Amino acid sequence: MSSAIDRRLTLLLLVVLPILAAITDNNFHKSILVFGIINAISAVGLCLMLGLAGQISLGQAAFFGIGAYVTSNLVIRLGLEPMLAIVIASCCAMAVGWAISRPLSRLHDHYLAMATLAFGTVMYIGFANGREWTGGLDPGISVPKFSILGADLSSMNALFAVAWIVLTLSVIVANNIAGHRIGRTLRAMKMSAPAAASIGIDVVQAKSFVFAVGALLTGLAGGLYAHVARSFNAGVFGVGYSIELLMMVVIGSLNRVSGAITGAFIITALPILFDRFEDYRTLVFGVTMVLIMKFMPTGLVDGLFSLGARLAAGRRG
Amino acid sequence: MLGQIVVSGFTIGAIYALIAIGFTIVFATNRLINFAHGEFVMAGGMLYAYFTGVQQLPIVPAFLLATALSGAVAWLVYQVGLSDVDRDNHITQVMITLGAGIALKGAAQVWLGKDTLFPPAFSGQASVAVGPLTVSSQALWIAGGLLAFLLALHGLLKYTRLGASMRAVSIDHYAATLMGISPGRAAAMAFVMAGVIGGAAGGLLAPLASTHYDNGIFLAIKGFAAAIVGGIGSPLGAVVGGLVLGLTESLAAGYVSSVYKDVVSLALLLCVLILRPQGLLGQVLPQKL
Repeated sequence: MSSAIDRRLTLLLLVVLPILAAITDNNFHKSILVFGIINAISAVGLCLMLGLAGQISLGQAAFFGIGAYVTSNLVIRLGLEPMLAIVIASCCAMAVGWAISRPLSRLHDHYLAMATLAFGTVMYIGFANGREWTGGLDPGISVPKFSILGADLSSMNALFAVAWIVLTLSVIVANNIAGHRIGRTLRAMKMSAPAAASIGIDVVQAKSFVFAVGALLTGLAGGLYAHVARSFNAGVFGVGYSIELLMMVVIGSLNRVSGAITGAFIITALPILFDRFEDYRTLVFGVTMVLIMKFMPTGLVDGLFSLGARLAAGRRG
Repeated sequence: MLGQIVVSGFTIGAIYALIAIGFTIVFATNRLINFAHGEFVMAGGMLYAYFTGVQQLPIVPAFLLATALSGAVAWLVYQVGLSDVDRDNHITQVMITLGAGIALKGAAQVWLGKDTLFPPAFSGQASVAVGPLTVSSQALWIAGGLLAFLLALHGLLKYTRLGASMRAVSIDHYAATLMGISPGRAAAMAFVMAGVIGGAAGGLLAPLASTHYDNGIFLAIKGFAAAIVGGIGSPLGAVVGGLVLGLTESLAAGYVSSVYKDVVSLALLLCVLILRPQGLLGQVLPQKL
């Protein structure tokens, strides 16, 4: 993560996105781009947790939900400025992420995956049944139009711009984390937690740090989601979303921020491709995941890259 | 009231115990948590409903076929997904079993349908009076199923060559390999047994609680919780964990709220993971670095 190539690819993606948004005049395609960016923000968070620090989480949908519901409630009940509400909501998600990671810090791999899955399920049950605050599964919740300081920014173009800025900031944060001391700490912990502890790294603190950052980014995405979707129910925040996020990182890359963003767009755009095969989507998802993990364990885009590099080297040699 | 709650708690607890046994066997021989395990249970229930409903088979062959097919599916998952993956590559194992589970769910959705199915109970008589309590006949089948599988498993692990080799692999995989035991074969057999027992749990549960292509992951979380509460790696622990979990859930549903009964049981899982990760009956294994 945070290699020179990765940073250049990320920059390329960030430049291409506005161009794509400018040339599509179809509002549906534009909304796919916006949702793609939102998912990309979440995926960058999970990429830090899983790719950089080796901490698997199957409970990301909970942070996404906290972001969305706290934002909605602040805006609806207190009439707070939407952007401020999003920031407060993502801080809430971060606090929950930090708090949940402390007791879970003894767990790793399989156990961590199951524990986070259980956490995500508990939160989902809470979202679905805390109807007073969330509207549950039916009727759900509706959020007023997005605005900044009174200026109406609810058009798809404006929402795209806001989401794009947030994504850019998230990418900068992720790259800074990966490139600095804390990034090396996390990488050391991924390779071997006991070895990292033996050279004076506080493993518990490192784990809760990366959980907090992952939750923060996912909560941020959730807050944006609330304003873009404007009307949604608790069904969005089930285990399915956590698994979809994992798919995005797996399809893209476990090691590159640019890969996570690519994966997010591929998964978000799939419904367009699978229009007529909606029923087969889950099956294809699962089979793809198994195949990628077997043959390209660092991610599909990553695997294709190294395959290309090997072929090019072979031709030269 | 209390008596009835205990009966329904033990009924669902027996199902959790059967699911937990599958987790435990696979963990003992493979050192992995099988995230596709819930889908074996789902497959058992859905196939039982399919054979009795669409194919109009009698109950006994339908149940046996469903159970055997879940075993075959489990074998396929191991052979295609896991047989050549490094034992120590845990994250990859999590992802592969998770992916296999999603694929099975998708396959059930495409080939067995998206409807919630209510297959027939095993015996015509709906419920039996035991003293002051009414027990549904299916609950008795479930209890009998748990007992039968426990005895069969005990016999297999204790008195057959295959069982001995599986126990050897679970104690020390490397030493077992040096003694001429094929760890791959033991691992594959563990998956088949998990598939068969899980499928049977699904078939036994379906008449009581209906069956749907989407409920696998939920059953998996419950079964895993039972395995952890009891102490993963020990079949007896799985049974104790399942019954404790079922009873807790049933008490929570009866005295607190039926909506939050799942929250109570998952909170129990998180508490055990945090406070006593080896479970109620498990022993602490020394950690090798």
